[in-house]
Amino acid sequence: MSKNLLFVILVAILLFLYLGTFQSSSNTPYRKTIIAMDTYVTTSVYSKDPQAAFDKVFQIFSDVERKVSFFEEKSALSCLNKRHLIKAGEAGFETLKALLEITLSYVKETDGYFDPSFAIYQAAYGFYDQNPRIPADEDIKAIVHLASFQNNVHISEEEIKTERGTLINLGGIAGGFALEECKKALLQKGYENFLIDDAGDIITEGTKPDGSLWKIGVKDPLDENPNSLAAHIVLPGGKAVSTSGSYERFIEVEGKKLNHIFDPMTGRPAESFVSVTVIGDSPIFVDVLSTALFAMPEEKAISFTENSKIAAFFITADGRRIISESAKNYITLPKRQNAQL
Amino acid sequence: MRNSDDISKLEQPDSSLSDSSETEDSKSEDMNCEETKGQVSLESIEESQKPIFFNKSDWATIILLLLLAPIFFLLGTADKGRIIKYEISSFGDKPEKITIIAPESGIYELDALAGKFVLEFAKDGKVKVKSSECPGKNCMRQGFAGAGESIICIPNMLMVEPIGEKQRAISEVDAVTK
Repeated sequence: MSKNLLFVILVAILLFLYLGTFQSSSNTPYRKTIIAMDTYVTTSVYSKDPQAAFDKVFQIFSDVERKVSFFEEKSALSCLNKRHLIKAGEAGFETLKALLEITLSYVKETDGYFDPSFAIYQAAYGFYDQNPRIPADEDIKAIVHLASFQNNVHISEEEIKTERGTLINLGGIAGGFALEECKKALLQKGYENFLIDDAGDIITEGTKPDGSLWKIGVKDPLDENPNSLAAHIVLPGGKAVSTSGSYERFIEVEGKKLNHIFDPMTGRPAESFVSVTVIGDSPIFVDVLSTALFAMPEEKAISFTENSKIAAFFITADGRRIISESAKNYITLPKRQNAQL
Repeated sequence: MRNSDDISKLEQPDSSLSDSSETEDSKSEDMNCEETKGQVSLESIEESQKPIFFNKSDWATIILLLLLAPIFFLLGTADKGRIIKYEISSFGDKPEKITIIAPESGIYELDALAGKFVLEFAKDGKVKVKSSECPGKNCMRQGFAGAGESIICIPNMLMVEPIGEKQRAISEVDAVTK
């Protein structure tokens, strides 16, 4: 090989590699992960001033957590769970009221399959006291009347009241609510291209710098490899994705894993699916709907999805993968997996 | 532009070595000045001493590795996770990329530009060049490469990169819903 040829090749390789690094550095988002509401929130921003965006996201999540976290002892929600009464003017009242009103509308919309008062079932199973157990049928019967948001939560301008014994956990909607607030705030501040990932609940805005769409992976809970993906979702800006799974939050009793989402018809953990992903415009909608669909029996979930034209992706407990009609534009399955619908 | 400046200095090693003002200039505006100086002195050694153990392709590999240093630096030392696959890229006339899913351990042989090129996979997923029919055999001396590292063979125009599972998750998607 002549010296000249070698030199030309070397120059070409170096140019290629250097251009490659510059390209990737300008295409790499500024990322920051914070811990809020017991999960990790990662913000990816393509912008010159990412820090202000990170600060805003952190501020919003902290604020929502302070007011409506189930686990934060001094939150307005914890006060409500303890005293069953919160009056206007008390700390966090307005935020809690707004969130409970949104919750009520979704409880109605999902035929009661999304209901934050199911926390009473979680408590009966020992989700909150480190003592996992399976309650007897009569124990479940004894608390069924408490597992109804519509019957037990009373919201007015002056106060929020709950019936004695009621337990409300807004974990299934607070994350989506915080993401919605983040989206509004960042758009208002002039950020155009960003992605916020609240432990798997994701909102997208704009595109990546090269104009390409956002790529979201759906975790495959049936694969032992923790990074294995069951599907790829390609999303334009202004969308939201949320997944409810039986594998992220669960308790173990006698070797059986019991997930935290309950079927209101039985008062027992829902067992139809291992993972339900919903794609939509609003982070609150997808957060709530993924939980509601997860709680439904398979047939009900599928008919509900198609009747309401929801973009959803289901992995059933026996491993089938189902893509709803509306989701077909967004979702591709890797490998040779077959999907129904 | 910066790249071509670097290269032109390569061609005239003596001028940039002797001219201190130019070195200062490049120091102030160019973060790669150290690497540039490194290559220049190596090149000048080759001209004057011509050591018998290193031929031209060896030097090319060494220079390339020096130039790659900042890239590795940028990639960072973060944990890349368990190795799940290997990418073998050819940067010859027809650039190609082969992906091999991580084998348990063993040998992988391919016909490259300069003859047989044999990779050996260790149990922990690291890979090294077991044998190569290339002239310099520099690729063999690079030893085992882990996730985020790479082995380059200039005569074969090959780059071998073990890919960690965390690297993959980052590169393929922007986020994972779970």
